[in-house]
Amino acid sequence: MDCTDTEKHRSKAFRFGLRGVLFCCLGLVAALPVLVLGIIQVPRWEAVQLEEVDREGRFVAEALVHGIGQVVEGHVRAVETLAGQVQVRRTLDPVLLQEMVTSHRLLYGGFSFMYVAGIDGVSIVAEPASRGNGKPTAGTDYSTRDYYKKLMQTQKTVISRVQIGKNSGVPNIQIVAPIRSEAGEMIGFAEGSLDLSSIQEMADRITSGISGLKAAVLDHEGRVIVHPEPLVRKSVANLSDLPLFQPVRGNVTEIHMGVDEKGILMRASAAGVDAYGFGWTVVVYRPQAEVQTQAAAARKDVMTIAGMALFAGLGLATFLAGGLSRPIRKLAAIATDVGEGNFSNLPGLPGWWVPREMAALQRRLREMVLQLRAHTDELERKIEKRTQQLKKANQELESFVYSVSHDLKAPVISLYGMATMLKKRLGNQIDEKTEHYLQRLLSNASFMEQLITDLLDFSKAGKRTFTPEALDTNRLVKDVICQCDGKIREKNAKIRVMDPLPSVVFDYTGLCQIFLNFIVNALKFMGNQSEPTVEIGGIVADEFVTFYVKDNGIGIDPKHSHVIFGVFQRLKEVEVEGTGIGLAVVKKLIDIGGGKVWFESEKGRGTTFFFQISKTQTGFVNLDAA
Amino acid sequence: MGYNILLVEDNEDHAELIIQVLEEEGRVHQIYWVKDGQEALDYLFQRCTEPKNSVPALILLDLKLPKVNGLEVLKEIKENDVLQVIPVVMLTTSNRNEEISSAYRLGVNSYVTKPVKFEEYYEKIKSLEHFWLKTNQGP
Repeated sequence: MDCTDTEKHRSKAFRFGLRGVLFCCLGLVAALPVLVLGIIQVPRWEAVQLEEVDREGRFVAEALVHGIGQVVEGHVRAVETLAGQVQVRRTLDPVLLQEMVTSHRLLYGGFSFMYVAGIDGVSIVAEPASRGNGKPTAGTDYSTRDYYKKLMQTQKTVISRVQIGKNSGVPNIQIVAPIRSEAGEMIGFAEGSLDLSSIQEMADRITSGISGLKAAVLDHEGRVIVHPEPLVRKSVANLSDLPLFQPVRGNVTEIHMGVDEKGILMRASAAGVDAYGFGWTVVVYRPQAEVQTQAAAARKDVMTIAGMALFAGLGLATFLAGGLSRPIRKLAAIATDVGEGNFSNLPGLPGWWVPREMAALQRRLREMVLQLRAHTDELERKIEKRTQQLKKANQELESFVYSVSHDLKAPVISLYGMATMLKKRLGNQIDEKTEHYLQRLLSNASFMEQLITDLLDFSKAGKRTFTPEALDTNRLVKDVICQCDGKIREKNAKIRVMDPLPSVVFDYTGLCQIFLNFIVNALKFMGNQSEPTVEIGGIVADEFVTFYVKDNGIGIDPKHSHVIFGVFQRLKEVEVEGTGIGLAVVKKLIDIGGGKVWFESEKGRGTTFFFQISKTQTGFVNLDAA
Repeated sequence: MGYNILLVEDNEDHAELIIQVLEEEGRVHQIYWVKDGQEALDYLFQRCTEPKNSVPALILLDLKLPKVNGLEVLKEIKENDVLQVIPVVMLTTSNRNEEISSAYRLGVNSYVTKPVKFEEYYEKIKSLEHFWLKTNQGP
């Protein structure tokens, strides 16, 4: 019993369930890569994002450089073509030239102004032919211009520095190509003013699809040719002081950071436009804050994805752990039931999806339960049979006791009757000796009758139906004392009863008999005590009540202690009336009540009998079935 | 004045004691004593069913009897039209509940257990005599 309790207690201690262990393992397997990847990748993603931004910026810058090259190249060809056409016609006839210039300007868009001039630098024809105020444009002297001087010097196509249109305020460059005579001598030149607003348009077009991206182009002096802000553009501000717009020379692209004209920190990709010795700088930039926001957003995305992956992994782990451990948990539950003696839960046959070892386990457990069921059924049948046999034997014994008592009683009645008749008949003639013999005869017959009656009482004690009820113990003991009032007077004994006695739930008649037998027993074994006293009390401890009946009689020799509660065990050395069955009846009654009885005694000083019964007795032990 | 009494008792000593008590103080009853159930039935059915003969005023019947058991004798008496009016007193050592209740079911008029002590025995027989033969008005 103790061992089982300890085991049960131990099994109550916390343990990981199989599902928990599986969940931890699977969860770790699922979550670890995601966590590691997340930890490594999140900072890297920021760098990747920055790289991406820079690459994009560089690409746009390079595309812009390339575009500018294309535009300039195209227009240089256009001017050279015009010069070539003039050269082929071998004429500087104004009408013819006008026609050529007009058609040429129309054919190649982007020229804000075109003219053909003689070697002296004075234009012969121009397109548009007149200004807004109606003044003709032809006949203007350009010999003071830098590009004229350079043309004269190099005799090759010249591209001027960026000029700002006097009337339009738009930056432009002049392209001049020499017109030669047949002998190869320069006789004049053709000029086209390329309006750089077309480059602005191109830059706007390229950057328009990309959020926050801006592009600026500066000439060799740092003046703005292209800029997202129209006002800055119009003022043709010189921005070379700002680190953002530092010129880049050569065919390289560089990444740098710096504040723009508004003081906002920008991340830029800058490239140089080296064609025709321009020395322009293309700067593609966007706010660093925006870049960082984008990087942060990217990091957040990565983290979100990682979190979702983690969540999904844990979800999958839960599902798998549940699925994998379910059959084992089911078997464990059945095994627990079996351990507790409940065989009603029979494991089914394993399905095809159950793993081999589990299937074997399930099959064996099933067999075990079936076998246990069979065994239990058989045992129950056996017990039932044995119980029936025992009941029958008990009944037989009972009727045997009855018939014996009947048969024994008859001769005792005869003995007693005849002796009485004899005594009566003799009347006064009876002598002392005869009277003594007759008296012994009667006394023995009387004792014989008592024996038979007690034997019947003892056998009846096991036969009675016990009814538990809440009892007022003090009142019950009072009733019992009244019953044996005669004997108490006879012994001149004092009975002291504790008030109140603990109340109990027990069979009324049973408890009466118990107290009665103890009191009678105590009175019986008083000896020559001058002040015979019997003390009755009770103590409550936990769920039990222990009553005691204490006397100051002759006491019990320890060597007899083992026979005190036996049937007909009256100790021979003591001369008292009675058959010695009283304590055996008490023991039987207390056994039925599921209690226990014992005593403490000192020879010559008295005896205390104790009996302990449950405070809230609900069922009585059926001794017949036991 | 004496009465006819049928005593059915297999134990000679008991019968003697009962007769002794009943015939004390010079009262004269016609006590007819038989030792077994069969004899009792024979006596009752042969003698008493004839109209000229009077039936006993009281039957004292033991329970455990040779040949025919006391309860069967009781049954026969109580099933007979003439005999069933006779008061039957069971006088036995047994106090078994089953036997007491079956005796009453069969129509016994009184059930008395024999005490061991003669003084009590004497008292019981006396009171039976007093009640059934003197107090009680028979048929």
